[in-house]
Amino acid sequence: MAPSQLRREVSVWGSYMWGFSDVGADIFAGLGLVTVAAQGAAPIAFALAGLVYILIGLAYTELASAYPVAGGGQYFATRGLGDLWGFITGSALLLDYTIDIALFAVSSTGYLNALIAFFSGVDLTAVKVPFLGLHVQVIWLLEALALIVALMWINIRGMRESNLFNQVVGVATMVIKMVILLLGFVTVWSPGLFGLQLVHQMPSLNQFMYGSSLAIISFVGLESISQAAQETRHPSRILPRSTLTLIFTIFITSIAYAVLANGTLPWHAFAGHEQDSVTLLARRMPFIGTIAAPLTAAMGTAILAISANSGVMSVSRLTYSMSHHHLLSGWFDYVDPRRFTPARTILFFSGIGLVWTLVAFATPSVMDTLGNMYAFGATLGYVVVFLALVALRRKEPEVPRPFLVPVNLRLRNREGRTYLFPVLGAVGFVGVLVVLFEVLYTHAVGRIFGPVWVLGWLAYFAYYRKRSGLGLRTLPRDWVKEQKEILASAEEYQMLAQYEQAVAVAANGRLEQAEGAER
Amino acid sequence: MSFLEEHLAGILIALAIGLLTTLNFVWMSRVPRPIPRALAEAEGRVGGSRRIVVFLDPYRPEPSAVAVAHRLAAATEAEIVLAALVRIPFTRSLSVPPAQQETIERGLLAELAEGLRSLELRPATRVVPSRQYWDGAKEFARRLGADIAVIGVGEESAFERGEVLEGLLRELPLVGCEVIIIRPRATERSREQQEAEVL
Repeated sequence: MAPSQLRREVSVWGSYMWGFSDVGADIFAGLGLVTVAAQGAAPIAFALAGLVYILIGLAYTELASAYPVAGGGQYFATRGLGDLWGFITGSALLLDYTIDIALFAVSSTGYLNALIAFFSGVDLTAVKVPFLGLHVQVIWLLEALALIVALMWINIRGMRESNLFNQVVGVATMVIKMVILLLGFVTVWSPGLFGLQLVHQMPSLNQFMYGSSLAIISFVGLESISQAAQETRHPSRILPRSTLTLIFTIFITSIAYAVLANGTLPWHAFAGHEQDSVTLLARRMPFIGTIAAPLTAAMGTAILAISANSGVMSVSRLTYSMSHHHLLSGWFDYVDPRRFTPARTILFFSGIGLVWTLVAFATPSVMDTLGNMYAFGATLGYVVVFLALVALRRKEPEVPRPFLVPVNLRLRNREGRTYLFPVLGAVGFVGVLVVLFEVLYTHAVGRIFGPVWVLGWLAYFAYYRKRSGLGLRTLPRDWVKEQKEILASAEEYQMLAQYEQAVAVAANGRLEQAEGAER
Repeated sequence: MSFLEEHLAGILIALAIGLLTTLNFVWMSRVPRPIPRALAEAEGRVGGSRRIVVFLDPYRPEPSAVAVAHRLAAATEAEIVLAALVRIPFTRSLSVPPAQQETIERGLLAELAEGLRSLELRPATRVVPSRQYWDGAKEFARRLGADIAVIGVGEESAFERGEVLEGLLRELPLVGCEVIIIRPRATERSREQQEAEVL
């Protein structure tokens, strides 16, 4: 895809829905996992992960509105920290998107099975076939694989239709999610049960660490908004509003769902229902439960399928950015001339999603295995994004930032120019680092496969750069020219004027400094 | 226990969540309008100003021109120079300016600058002699590297003549200087007064 082919037509609602279709579905997959792991302290686990998520969200809001291009965290890291860090972030995000495809396809078909069970009484997830000493849920596996193949087909045929589908189902899911939540509090939530579990059902420290690190997966997906930044109209005005609204609504609904879950059912009721936890919750509602449960299952199926689809869509934007910056081979940049879709990327990375699905079903807990990997990729990517935030503030203080992460210290960089050091960015960095430590400490799968994935891609990076004669060092790039082109293409004329002026002032300052030194 | 009593806490939580979320969506949907390109560019040009020159007729200075320059300078941290444009007739030599006249002009400028101390403004002052106002203004703006020229067209000032204003508007942009013309407010002279003058 050439940059000109990414047309700016995403509105404020489109931008919000783009993020919501990814992060909004996370609670459908994460609620059961976190409640079983963190038990009575699940709302605390969600709140702690949510605070880290808010800081991540603020960093993304600043960076995506200042650099409205495809690539997200990988682009920020490449620009702020250099090619190697950009590639590491890119590989972590590639892991996330491929896991995203697998996890949400598995979860979506999990809700589908709950829907089938509701009407027919047959639990398809119970159909198991022995394999290497394990009992593989073969029908569920085949359903998940079929969904991924279907998404590959849809995306290779054309994205416009799938984008519209995303928005329609996204809105319906958002409404139903809110209705279930509010009616749940009004009809079935018991403060007594909630308090009892909070006081007497506390997990061990290890379990809590595991739960809170899994809770971060309920907030993964903000990256999607910045992936779509290159297609958003007037990004300096739209992105801060859509991102901040997404941060707030997801934070509040995720914690509210955790509170609702622990005030409605004992935590152990969710064991074995990790894949359809919200349906379990909806079923408890008096009178409306008979309608709400299948409706939730249907919506869970749809929104999680969309989430899997957004993984397919976002991975193509990420690889476009990576190959544009010579971090990946141009082979991944191929666009089908008939359908104008990045067919190779879709086939390759969705193919990896199929492999993850097969691997996950060969482990004792499908959802847990995928959740482990998802948490690793997300936290590693976020750690580098925080570093990129600090580096870009220091390196490029002249870039206009429509939104600034609050609480800053005024410092001077090497050239003597003043920049604002983001204190909350540093706090967020430490927070994500703690979550990454939790992931590595408590997640056996994530601890091994996550670093292996990154190292494997690093080996590819070294091979590709050496073969292309580019070397491993950061390639020289004219970021000023690129920034001007980005702002002009985004029709951000005010920012462009501010940027040109700031660049001229900085150049003048450097000239005066050099003249002073000569004298 | 009634339903309301039993579920009061839940109802309150539901109301709070609903209200906060609705307010959030209302805020999101009210996206500020983008600024048109021309306006953004004009803002950019003014915003990047480092030197603002105020051209005045020393005998008929227009104080509001200085006030406008002061506001612009406050917003952009630019320095202000007050320049008195003085026309030297062709019958006299440019290289030998009439000392007495220049002293008067300098005095008038210094007086004006002194009056600006209340605004905590200490502008540099210059007398710019030339054959034609616009030639002197252009050359001075070029040497100074002025980004903006504010021209105060005071009542009965030398700049009131059409050809002078036209010349200034034509020549100053050639050296990359934006021109802002400031006229006295119509309210300063009553309509009756103006009509009486015309009659």
